[in-house]
Amino acid sequence: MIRERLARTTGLFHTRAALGLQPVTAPVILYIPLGILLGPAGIGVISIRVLGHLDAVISIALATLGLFIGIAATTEGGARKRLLLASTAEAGVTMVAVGASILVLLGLWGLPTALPPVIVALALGISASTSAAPSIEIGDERARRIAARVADLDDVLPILVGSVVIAMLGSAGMPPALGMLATIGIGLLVAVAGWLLLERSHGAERGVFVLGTIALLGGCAAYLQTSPLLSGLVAGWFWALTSGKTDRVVTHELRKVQHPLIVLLLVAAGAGLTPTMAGMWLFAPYVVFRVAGKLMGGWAASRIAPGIAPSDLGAYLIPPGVIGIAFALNLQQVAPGTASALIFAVALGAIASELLAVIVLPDSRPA
Amino acid sequence: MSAPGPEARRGRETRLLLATIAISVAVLVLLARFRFPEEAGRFASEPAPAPLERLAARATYDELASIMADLERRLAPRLAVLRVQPERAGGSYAVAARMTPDRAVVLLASHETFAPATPRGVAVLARDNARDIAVLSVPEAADAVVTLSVSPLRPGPSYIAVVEATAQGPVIRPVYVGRTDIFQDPRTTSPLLSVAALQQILPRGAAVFSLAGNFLGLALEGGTTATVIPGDILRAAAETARGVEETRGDLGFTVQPLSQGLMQATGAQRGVVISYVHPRGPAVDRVEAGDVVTAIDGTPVTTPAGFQQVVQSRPPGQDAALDVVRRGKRLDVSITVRDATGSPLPPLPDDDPGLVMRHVPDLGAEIVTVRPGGSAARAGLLTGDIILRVDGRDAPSPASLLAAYRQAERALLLSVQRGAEHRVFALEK
Repeated sequence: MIRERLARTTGLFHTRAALGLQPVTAPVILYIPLGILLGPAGIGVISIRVLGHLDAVISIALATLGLFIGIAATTEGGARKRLLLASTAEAGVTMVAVGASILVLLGLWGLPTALPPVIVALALGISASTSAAPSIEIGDERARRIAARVADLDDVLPILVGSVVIAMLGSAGMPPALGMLATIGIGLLVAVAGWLLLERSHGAERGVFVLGTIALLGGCAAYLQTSPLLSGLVAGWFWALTSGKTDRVVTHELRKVQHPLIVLLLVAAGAGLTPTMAGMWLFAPYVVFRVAGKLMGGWAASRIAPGIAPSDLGAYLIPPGVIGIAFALNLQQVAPGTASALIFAVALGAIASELLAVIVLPDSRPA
Repeated sequence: MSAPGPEARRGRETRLLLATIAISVAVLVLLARFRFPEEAGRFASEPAPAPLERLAARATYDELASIMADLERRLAPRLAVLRVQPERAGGSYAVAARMTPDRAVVLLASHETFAPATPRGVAVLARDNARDIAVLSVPEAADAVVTLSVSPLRPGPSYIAVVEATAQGPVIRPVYVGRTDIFQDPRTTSPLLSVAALQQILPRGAAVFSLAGNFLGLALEGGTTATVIPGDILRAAAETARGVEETRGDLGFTVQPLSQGLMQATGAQRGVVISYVHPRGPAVDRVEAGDVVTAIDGTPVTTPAGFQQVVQSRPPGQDAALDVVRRGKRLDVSITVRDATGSPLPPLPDDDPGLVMRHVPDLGAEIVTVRPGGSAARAGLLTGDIILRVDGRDAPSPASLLAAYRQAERALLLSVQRGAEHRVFALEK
């Protein structure tokens, strides 16, 4: 019993297998507070000027995350469609649960927010609907594996909906539809270029090409104020669907930089946190409704894919991962300053959700 | 300990799900009881708000302060503050926005120049006196160019960020805009933006940004309802500046407003009346005094000021197509624009202040003409001013004024009546 409790406690500091991150220290819990400590509100090592220079790197990190999701979403086996459908339903239920609840509260409160209440509610719903693989080594091996796969696949819908929101707010003045087209177009163009290069590349030049490709994905999206997550997702999808080795080469090469990029993303998110009253008010309902949404979504997903998804899937998906924070950061980039309440609620909500995941455990015994 | 069966497991899931939903509904109901105070409709006589309300009321300002801090960080490398001469009403500093890696634009009237302490590497590349735009060459910095707003401000209430120039550097503040309008102005080919910021003043020359950090333009005419030159016009000016020091078009004739009586006499319903055609100018034999100019290159002109601005914005050497009404008949006239600044003017003798005056008994000397390039023009004297006192003598005649000017060592002090105002001017030698 003591060993189990110890495992639970130490499990808090272990991240999930999502995005290929096999057990390492839980990034959200460590690096967001580290960012707050190092940021302008802390000791000031990361100044406001430094944060401004990090914008381009953050875009590249977002494109990298999108790439991993895109590749992961298409390399499934025979039950791919049902699991993708179940994951999308799970993300959709969470998005609606959180978005609708927050919208009701914002409407009743009259809370002044820089962005329109509908956008705030939708953005919080999008951030809440993403999840990471189980953080605690409890539950049977197969259930954890499936939950990790669902945690990857349930990021697809939030990235798609999130891109629409980004296109509405950013897109350098383009109409939203054109912004979406540009986002997908960038992903496809860079994917084709990368595919042509990487299929014929060897040795060390592969690394250069891969880095150049993700820099192009992130840079184009940043310049056009579109979603680098969706551009990366489209590119990853393309590479996984086309014949050849590009998806494997990219996955192999990006494993070398993914950890630093995720750390950078979280530290930057922590350093850029501005405590606002709106953020404080949104934080608690965000956490509560997210947990409820995840449990309801998991319940629905296990009914859509019975025999594949574990029946207590929702409990596996409470840890939030980094995609939700990545989306909030993207929003901050296209609408500077206006998303500070949102990113505050999402970042603190991510830490709280990680802590809640230790309490709301999936069933520890095999079925 | 034996493993639970599927039924037991489903029971646990159901309980967990129901408990979570119950907690969520309870939280929703509890939180839904709070109300944040509305900003509008609150009066001073209301009791002090509760602590919760006070905190909520701060939220908007917290958000705005956060946005301003973020914008300041992003915009500071893209802006420069320059000192201008003579001092403006709102201060002696102007904001320059970097439109290309090596060019910036600033609002600078034709009579203004930069102070000698202008930062190194900054020089005036070209000036557009019709629109008061000056293009500056600045040390190259590719990553410090302002991002233009592709679409102008949406109509309706919103916030904008206004950057003003101070001795300490650019200062940014949010301005609540009650209304924005787009209107056509003869000075520009693209429409301008009218921004109504009630109870807040946009100073002339201030740089205007959206809250997303996109450059909207420079405030051409300050006040609570300001006119903003859009960023795309400014960028076009920066990109097309040819390094010419200063250009100002001229058609070689002067105009006056079209009054009701002149309308009946000329047969024109709108436009400006030609009052004088320079005998050696490009308009000789093409137009004559009494003709009415209704449009230039298709741009309607209705006031002498608008006419001047249209003409001055035309590049010298090009032909301007004028719509003219002469004794009720419409004519199409083409006149080659000449460079007004480059037009040779006979230099004035040292003892001539450049004034043509007539005597007004018991009052003084009324200015009939102020010749360009003279000390009177430099001092700011205008046609119609009445000189009431010179060098301690009331009601001076034109001859006595010129004699006093010749005898003065450095400058001559004049008391002048301009309309209902009284002013003092110095005629420097």
